[in-house]
Amino acid sequence: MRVSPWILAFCALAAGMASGAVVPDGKAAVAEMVIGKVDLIKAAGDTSALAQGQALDFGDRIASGIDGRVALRLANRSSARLAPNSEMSFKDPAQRKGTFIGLVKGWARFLVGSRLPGEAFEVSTDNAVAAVKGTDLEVGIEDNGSTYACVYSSEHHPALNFGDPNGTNGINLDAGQGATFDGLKFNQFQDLGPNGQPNGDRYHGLPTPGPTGDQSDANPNPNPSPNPSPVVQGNGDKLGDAIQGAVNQLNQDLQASGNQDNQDRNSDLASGRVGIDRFGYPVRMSNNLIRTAPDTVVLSTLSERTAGPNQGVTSASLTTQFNQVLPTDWLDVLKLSLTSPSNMDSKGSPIWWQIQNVFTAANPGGDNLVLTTLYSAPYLNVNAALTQDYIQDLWAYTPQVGLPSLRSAASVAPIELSDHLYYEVVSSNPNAATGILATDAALLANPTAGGSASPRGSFTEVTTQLAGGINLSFVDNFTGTQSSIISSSFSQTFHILDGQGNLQPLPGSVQSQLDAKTFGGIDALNFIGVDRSLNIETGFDVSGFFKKPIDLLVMPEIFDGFGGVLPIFSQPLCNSCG
Amino acid sequence: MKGFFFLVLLSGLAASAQAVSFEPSLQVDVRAGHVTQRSPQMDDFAWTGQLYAVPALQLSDNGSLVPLFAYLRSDSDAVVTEDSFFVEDDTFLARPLYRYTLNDRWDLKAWGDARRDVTMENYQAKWSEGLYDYEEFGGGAGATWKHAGSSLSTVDLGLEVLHRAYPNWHELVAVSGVTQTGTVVGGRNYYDKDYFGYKATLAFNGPSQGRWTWTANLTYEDEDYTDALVETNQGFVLGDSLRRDHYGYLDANLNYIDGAWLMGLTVDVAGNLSNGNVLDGSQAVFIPGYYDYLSEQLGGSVTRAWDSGKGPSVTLQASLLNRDYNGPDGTGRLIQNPNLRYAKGKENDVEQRYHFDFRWPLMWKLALVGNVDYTVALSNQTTLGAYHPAYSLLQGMAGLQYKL
Repeated sequence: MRVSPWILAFCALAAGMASGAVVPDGKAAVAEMVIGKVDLIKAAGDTSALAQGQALDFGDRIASGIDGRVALRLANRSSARLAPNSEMSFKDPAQRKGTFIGLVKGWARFLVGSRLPGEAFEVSTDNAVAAVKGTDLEVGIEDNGSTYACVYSSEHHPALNFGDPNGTNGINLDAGQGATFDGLKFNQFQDLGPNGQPNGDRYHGLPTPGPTGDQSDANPNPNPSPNPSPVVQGNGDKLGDAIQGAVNQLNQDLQASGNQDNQDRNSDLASGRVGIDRFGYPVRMSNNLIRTAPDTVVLSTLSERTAGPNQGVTSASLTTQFNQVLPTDWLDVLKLSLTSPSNMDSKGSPIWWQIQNVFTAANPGGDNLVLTTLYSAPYLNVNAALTQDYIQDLWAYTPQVGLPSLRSAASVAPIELSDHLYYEVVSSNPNAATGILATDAALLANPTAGGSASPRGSFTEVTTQLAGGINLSFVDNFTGTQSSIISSSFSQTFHILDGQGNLQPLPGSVQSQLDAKTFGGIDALNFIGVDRSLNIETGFDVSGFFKKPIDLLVMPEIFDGFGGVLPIFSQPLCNSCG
Repeated sequence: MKGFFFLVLLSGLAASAQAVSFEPSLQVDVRAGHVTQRSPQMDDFAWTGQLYAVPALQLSDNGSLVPLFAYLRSDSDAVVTEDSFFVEDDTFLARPLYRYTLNDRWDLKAWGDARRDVTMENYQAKWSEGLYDYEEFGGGAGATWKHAGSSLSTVDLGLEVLHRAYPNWHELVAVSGVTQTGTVVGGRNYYDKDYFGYKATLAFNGPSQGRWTWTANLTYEDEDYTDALVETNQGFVLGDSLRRDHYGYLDANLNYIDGAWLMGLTVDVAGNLSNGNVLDGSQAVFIPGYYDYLSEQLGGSVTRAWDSGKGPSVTLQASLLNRDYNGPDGTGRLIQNPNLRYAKGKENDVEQRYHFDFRWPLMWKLALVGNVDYTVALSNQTTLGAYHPAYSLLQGMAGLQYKL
């Protein structure tokens, strides 16, 4: 049967396509792919740029630049890949049959095809020769001059004979084994991995010859991270390097900035700048102590929610005015009590004491609660203890910011019943009005001055309007349970102020409700004993008055300043003191 | 926000332009699992997602455009620990980078950066109203120096200027109307987390020495706060310094490859030096150096890869971190006792982290991936409100990864 020459031509073309470029007879290799700078150095010394598809003669050398790589087709269905900054020569087989490669420097990887009996495949360096029987191997010259050889896969046993050029000192290697040789001794290792060397991308971008597959993606991540790190890789050349570089730079940035962001958040949590309220909403908090005037200090706390029923800003503050200008180190003064030795003058009298407190609380709905307390000067009570008394205690509520002056019932204009609460306690103790210092001999001699059992004497209570009471509650933010309800121990009487400004008795039903909802004095804010390991949320629930509760989330210690930690804020204020 | 979309649009237009060559890279990683926390107790479902897309263009022999888009998401309901207080974190990032190969030795690069980070402290919070939401815009330039030895080694230098803004975070004292003597706080000290950052990065990729390689990444950032008054022992005082932080981070790795085994040793050092202070008004205690810290972490890892790296791989990792909140001249974050009174010592945290992950290639460029992480954090600091410096966290997740 005669075969058509067209069929023969087609078969030849197909065979050529299947095996890639064909190495012409008499040639050593063909450059299948050239990346970056690769020089061709002829035996005569002429140097030119290696071009893709160019055939190489025996005796030629090729040298890759720092970004140069080249894939070569060798005879006998073998191939090679030359790494950057490497140099390879093609030796004339002369009397021997086979392929003889010289590796002058750098690294190269070989995929060796089937050979005829007696055909050799050798890779030699200055101090070693690797005689190949296997399939996939890599040879390189390390920085110290040692030759490195390893076998990735082979169906032969042994797969590689590795030793000095004289053949006097050699070892056999199988697949998965490798060794280095410095001309004198071997350093052999087992269970070779995918790349054998850390720089697994040295052939990055070159085509994968043969069935063993491209190993460029095989290098384990040298920086395993708990979070899956991006390992986006280009398939080589400059673009692939650019991609990898961009991803690496991003990872470095994310790692560095993530660390700093975590610390920023931790600092906010630790210093009480953020928290979670009992309803589960995140809260931004701000606790501050500021001297707003030479003799005045404001302790304030603000909470801001971006979601939830109390979205917006809630605030509370305690403004304390002292009897005289505070010194520069006023923080230290706040830590003093009336009886602190550091707060005593040469006569044994206190140097600093508070003369007025104004407590305010406001919710995002515009409700505003103000409690103003005026203090007497310090004096000795019946137990000869130095104390202060309040001479006026005034509560006021207004549904809008901008509290009118409510110092006395007379100053209150007639208002709608359901809108305002006004409560005032005025001491009738004549001594309290001016204060008696501890050295006041008259008071020491007659501690009950004022005509009653207490130096404060009797109280006049005037309530101008009523529609509810005030509960001071502390809520466990994590369990939602109410920890305590603080109520004052002093008695009070409520009346309705009618439209003409006259006091009217309360209906019986309302009075009974109020009996269960007594006011808390400012001393109620001293809640030492409440679980401090949790955030404490303070709610001023004035039923029927407030458009919204004043739902204030503060670090637990913030209100300690009102009566716990800072002694000067914790003077006895209730009427049972003394 | 407009700038963010502008950069995205710019990158997209560039990607659609005619180019010498186009090389898209894509990685998607989605995992779900369970997280268990102790102190306080919490169990919940958790999931993470990552998407990296790089439609790179080789514009010329020397120039390439690498627009990098990323979306990172983490979601967990473990609420009140220092690491997972923020249950939902979404980061959108666009970073177009242009790289020009000057010669064998030098590459030059310039990039823009747009980032939007949206956090939800818990599921009660509203989307995009999180206190820690931020937008960041920046740009930088850098160079890579390549050195030829037996293997390639590089030195990479980058300089970047950025601005970060937290639109939902306010210093509330500014709205309280409470002012320092003789000052008017007014609109100042309101956006007190916003800052300009001036960042320098230096990355070394050392040459391989036998089976050894090493890398070192150094980051320094000068954070100049634009609106944050420094709190003094007199409170916030207008006219005094604005807050300024100096943050440094070093990440050094030494790796040894023996066949399919890779062993790594990692040293991380991070530190912050700030002029920011805290005046704890409740106890009238002034704490300078509150934001200063120095942490050192030593870690080791072992990775095993089968089948020439195309098969499964597993990694085991352990690390120990020590963090001291010490500032200069004896300042620093004070310890608070259970009764919240301050003690003389400074806060110190110690964290042990154990990590296991695996990757099992499947078909169609898919791989089964998973990880188990266990963290034990100890601290001499007391639990303060939502701050839990001491806790333990166990997390196991598995999912799929696609890599183009």
